[in-house]
Amino acid sequence: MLRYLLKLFLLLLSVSYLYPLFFMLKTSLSSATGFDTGFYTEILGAGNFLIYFTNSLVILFFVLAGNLTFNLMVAYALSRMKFRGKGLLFAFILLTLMVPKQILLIPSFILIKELGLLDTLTGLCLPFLVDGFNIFLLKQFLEQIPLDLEESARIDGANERIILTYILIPLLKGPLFLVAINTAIVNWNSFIYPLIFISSDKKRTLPLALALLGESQFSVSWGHLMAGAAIVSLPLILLFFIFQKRIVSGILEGGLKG
Amino acid sequence: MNYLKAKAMPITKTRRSLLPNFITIIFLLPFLLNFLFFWLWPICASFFLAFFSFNPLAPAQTSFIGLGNFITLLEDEAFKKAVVNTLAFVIVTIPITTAMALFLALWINNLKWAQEFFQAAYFIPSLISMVVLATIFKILYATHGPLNQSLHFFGFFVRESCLNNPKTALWAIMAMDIWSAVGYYCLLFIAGLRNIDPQLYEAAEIDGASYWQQFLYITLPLLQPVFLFIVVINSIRSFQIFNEIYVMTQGGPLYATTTMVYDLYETAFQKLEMGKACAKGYFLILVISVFTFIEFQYQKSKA
Repeated sequence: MLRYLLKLFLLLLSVSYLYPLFFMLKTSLSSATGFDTGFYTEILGAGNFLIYFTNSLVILFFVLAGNLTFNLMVAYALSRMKFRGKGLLFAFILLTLMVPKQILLIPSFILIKELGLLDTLTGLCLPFLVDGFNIFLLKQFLEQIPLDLEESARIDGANERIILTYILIPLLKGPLFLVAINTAIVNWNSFIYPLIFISSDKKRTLPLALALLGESQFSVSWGHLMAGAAIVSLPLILLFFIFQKRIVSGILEGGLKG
Repeated sequence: MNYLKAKAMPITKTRRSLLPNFITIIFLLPFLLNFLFFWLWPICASFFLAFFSFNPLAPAQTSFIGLGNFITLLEDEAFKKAVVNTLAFVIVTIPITTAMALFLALWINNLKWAQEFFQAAYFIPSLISMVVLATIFKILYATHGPLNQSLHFFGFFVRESCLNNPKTALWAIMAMDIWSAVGYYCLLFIAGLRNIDPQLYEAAEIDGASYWQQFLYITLPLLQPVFLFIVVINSIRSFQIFNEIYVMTQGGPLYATTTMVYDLYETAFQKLEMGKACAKGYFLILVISVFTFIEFQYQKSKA
């Protein structure tokens, strides 16, 4: 009996755990007249969230493209090429994993300002095109792939580009997927960099726009705020449901940052 | 097989004798540029800036002030409050989050059904932008929001939002943080539990060990590495709490929720005292390093 009560309690706890998200959807979809998608259309149109959504997508596209190519190139060099200073390079990568990002903020701000990239989407892409954690992840997987295939391809005259595109990338689909998910989650939710780099209204990313919408407490209704919150979070929630198995197993195997 | 290796060897051998060749440089260039401009330079620059008085709007007035930035930290009320708040945040949330994550992991791992559903239910908040979660909780905590309404229902009359009360604001944010973080660490614990050899439990079962004894003498000791990992990454993250503070309270009321990173942000980008902010950044690194070192030592002493 006690055991069933405990189970019931845990079940209720799990359901109540999702209450804040349920509250978000409920508040954003209901007005005085009942079910209403008005908050969404207003926030996307007059609230400019369609523009912010596009900004976030554009940045994500370039950051994803950068991370999928550059991380693989570095990981390939680390695991397949022989050169002097490899140990030092590896130490650099570990350093990027350990340094708290806050001490980078001010010099990065100054650098982006000097490059004339303040208040541009380019400035929000440029620092994030490569990532130490993802290099590390791809390197681990690359080292598990036996060299035989590549060696025989090399004898047949294949160069680095051919080996990567026709042999390694097909074998690395799983890890590259994890890199993409990592990048998407971190980049889509990124807040402090847009906050300090972006000043004009039309260049805002979704999280920045939502935070600034919440600051103007006087005119914004809960419905609008929650519709904005849903627009920021639903793409990732959908992504999670589509790839739930692979994302969860990615975390269980230590390949996702969370 | 040997034939292949014999053929391949000379190629790699010529590579080794040379400095990085053209292709290697091309492959490494994106990372090297990124590292140079967005890691190495910032790390050094913010170290030097910590000894200067620097305002980006008046670069001409930049002056070397030695340890001045570090000395003024001692009289900086907001900074002192921020250190206390951040330490409180870490010390309160880490044990609760870890314990809850472990408890849920044990429960979910023993479930015969719907494991995936519960994993997803607890994990989803850690997937969502902290700005979104903070916006939702700001409304949940609002003066006439759901929390105060349900308190009202149970007979407690609260006239203001818990975020406007200096006594409760930080606690309210801690509660949200625990709620949002538990799911991810729970999955890490589940991974740790699955790595434990089931034969150990079978042997203990035969020897007549109770569930509690099995937990105490098999599960807990074998989870030590996962424990350490979770406590370390979670405290590093918690020392850097910023987004929820910015969205929910902007450090108020009366500095009750100012954290070290929020204080750093305000110093650098609102007061524009960037040298001083760099000093604060380096102090933060020092605190995080000391804390992480203690955690490792503590774990070592137990093992």
